Amino acid sequence: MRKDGFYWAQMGLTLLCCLFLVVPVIQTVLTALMVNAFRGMSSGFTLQWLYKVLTTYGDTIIRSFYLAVATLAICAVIGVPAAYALVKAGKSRWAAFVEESLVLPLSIPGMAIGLGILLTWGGLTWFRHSWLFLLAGHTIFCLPFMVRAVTAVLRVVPLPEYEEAAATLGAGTLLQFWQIVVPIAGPGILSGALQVLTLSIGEFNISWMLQTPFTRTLPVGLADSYASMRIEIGSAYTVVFLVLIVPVLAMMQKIPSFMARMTQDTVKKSDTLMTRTPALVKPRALLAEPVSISLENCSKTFGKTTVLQPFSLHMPKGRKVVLLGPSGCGKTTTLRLIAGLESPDPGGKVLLGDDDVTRVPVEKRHIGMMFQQYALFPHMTVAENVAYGLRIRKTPKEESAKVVGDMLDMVHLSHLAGRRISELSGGQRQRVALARALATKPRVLLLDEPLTALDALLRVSVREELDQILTSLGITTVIVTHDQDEAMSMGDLIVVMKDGRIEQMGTPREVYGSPATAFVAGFVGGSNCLEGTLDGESLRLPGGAVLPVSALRPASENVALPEQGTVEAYFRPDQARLAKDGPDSKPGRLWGDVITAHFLGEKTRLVVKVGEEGEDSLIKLELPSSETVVPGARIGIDLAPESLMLFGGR
Amino acid sequence: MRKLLLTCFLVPSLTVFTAFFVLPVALLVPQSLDTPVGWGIYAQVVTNSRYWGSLVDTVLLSLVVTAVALVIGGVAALFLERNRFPGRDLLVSLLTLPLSFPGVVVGFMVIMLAGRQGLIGQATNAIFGSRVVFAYSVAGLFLGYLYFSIPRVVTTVMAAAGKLDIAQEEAARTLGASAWRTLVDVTIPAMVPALVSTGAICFATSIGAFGTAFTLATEINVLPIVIYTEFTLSANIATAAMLSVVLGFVTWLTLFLAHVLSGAETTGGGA
Repeated sequence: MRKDGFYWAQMGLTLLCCLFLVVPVIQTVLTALMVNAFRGMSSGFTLQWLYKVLTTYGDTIIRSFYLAVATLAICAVIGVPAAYALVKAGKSRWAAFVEESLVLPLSIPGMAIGLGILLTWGGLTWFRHSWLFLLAGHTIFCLPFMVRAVTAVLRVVPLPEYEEAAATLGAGTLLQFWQIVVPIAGPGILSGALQVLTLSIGEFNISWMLQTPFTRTLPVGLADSYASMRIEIGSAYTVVFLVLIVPVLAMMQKIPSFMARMTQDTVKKSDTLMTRTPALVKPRALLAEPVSISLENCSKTFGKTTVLQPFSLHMPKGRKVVLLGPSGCGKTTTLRLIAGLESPDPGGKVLLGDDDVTRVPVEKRHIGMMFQQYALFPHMTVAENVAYGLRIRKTPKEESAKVVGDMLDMVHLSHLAGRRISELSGGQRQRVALARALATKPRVLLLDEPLTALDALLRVSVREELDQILTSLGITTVIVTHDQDEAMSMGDLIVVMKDGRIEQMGTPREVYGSPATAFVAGFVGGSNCLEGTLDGESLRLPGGAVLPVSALRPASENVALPEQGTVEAYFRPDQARLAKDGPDSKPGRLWGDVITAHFLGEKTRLVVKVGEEGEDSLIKLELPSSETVVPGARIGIDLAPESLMLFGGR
Repeated sequence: MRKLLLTCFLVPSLTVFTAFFVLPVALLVPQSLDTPVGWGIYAQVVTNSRYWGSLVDTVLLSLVVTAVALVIGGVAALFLERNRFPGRDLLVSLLTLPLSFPGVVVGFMVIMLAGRQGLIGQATNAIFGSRVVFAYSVAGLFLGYLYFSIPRVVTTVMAAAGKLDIAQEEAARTLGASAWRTLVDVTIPAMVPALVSTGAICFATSIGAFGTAFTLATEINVLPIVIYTEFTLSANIATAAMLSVVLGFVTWLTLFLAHVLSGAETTGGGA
């Protein structure tokens, strides 16, 4: 910005503002040190006024200090759990009401509150005369600040994920609160604590109403000194107040950056922005005897929404099973049913091997889970994260250290054991999360979108490494993904899901080659769909292709085709050939207009419009990049009958 | 099980809150009715010229302070948020320092500036040969309220301005708006919620401010001082309770309306 008159005018006003606020403070400090304020600095400097304040008002200073510490203790002990409960209660109406109510004391003048407390509880003489009376007033005034500071932090961190991660590692509710929630709320508690200290030390309105000659606090003494004593004493007393409060304020200035570091750790991008070849993974011994996973008659309803229709599914032991489908298809819910983070609707059963775990809480299921955003605990180092499940299980130190070392060695992270999570790159975090999930030798491993949080360039190599590790361990693994490449390359079995139903379960080859439903054909392999008509002898497709029925077959065994009527024909973008020989029509040849053509290196991707005006549809084609096609050209496309996957029309 | 635990987590806070806030504040109402006139006591707010005058004075003073603080504090905050220069962090720290000063200290700061031995008095004495002293007048009270209001405005507006999307202003500039038009058309409208909420906080804090007025022992009687004198000097508990209820209601209503209008957080903190 140019530094014009406007700039300097604003600067001037800002400086004036500062002077207005600061000059009296400086003057106070000087006056406190002057021998005689009326004669000014020429009278010389002295510490006698400060000394006098400490001797005359020492009790108020000490009392204010103790009172602030006691207020802080109470606010922390009752306020932090309350803040957690409010955050957990989420958006419910009563939680909002309680939260709004708790900050009401800030909307009502302190003297009104003080008067109320005095009139209500003043009759209890012992209480009225003790410092506890003031403590009650200070707590009411300070509690909202603690609750607000803690809820603010807990609302910006992915709290449910951290808790679920802790639960899958074996921690119960109280342990989760103490070992995960409280440390993560740390910056909020600290910020709240500093606010409570300054507010309590400086609280005047309520204290003035509640004080007795034996329970005067610093600000009450201040008011007294201003009214009755020399200005030097008032100044010196104010200086004492500033000395108490300025260190706390200085710490407060540091809070925002501290808070940012704890709550929004940005992934270091430096080493995620290049592709690399996957490292070779050292083979490992089997962790624990792998078990199969069975879901029997499981369905899941949230309120009125059914996210999973009743289904049964058996995942054989030692296999990698991928749950594949678009978002909202119920794949993550299925994973969470296995983990125990959700329970199936009544009647459903979850079995690990022969063990019915339907009623076993997540922390007792002994499973390993890796979360989409990893849910690594930010207040622990890499090694501490990996060791957490072992710590819960009270594994002896030496054994735990050995396992952690082993795990970190497996994922090539031994050199980073002491690092904080915020210092890791995305790929490193993923490997820590995997090591943490495996450290307790779980019965099954559950991976929720294991690669989604990674940069696209890094995904392939991380996928290869992950696959090597899983294969060498031989652990039963369930992987949730929406990416069919990931599903094909990692899964021994693929379960394709849609709208809470299982569409097909099979090997990658089966799912790709013989899709059970039109959805699977479209979703896996990004197939094109053309609507055609069967007339008993041949299939007519838009764009002029006519194929003999004798050469056609349904997409898979279970698909029934009508003799006549509409059908859907699916084919993959790379299974069409560009027609080379003349403009003559030939059976199975489509004609279309090229809309776009993109050269992508190893291939050229086309979008082609086929069919008559009004009934046209767009199809995607992938041709060898040796073919040169320009937009606007009319091309012939040959489809081999066996490449078509047919489904009965709707 | 989990629900039960969460409820247990809330119980201590709610108990303390009910015992020392809900109950005492609610009981102010029956206390205020403990006179022969019953609810008629509330009519005194209007009929008694001392109470009514005090209420009007307090509200007017608070309104003026709020307006001035919003302008001065708003400009300073926007300037500090948008510009980086050596010493900026120090300025921000200094501007927010008085946030934690109790009202009595703020009153003392005004005495330091405009009292008998204050800076202004000494300066005018040196220049004109007579001391200008206004700490104990309405002007002193105004300065005091401004003193605790400016830091509140600065922190809120800086936070709000920091969250503004600079690209919106740049977009306005690319569409041909001058710097001034951009400020009026884009920046200020985006900050309305923050201005409403911080304005409400300043207003409510000023209306309820006791310590500052108490220290300055001003000629004009602001409402909190009236309540205090009714209670201590006249032992007129019913009236003190009644005026407390009125005062509490006005501040609560201000903050509540601002909260509804702006959607921003509006909670005060006494001065």
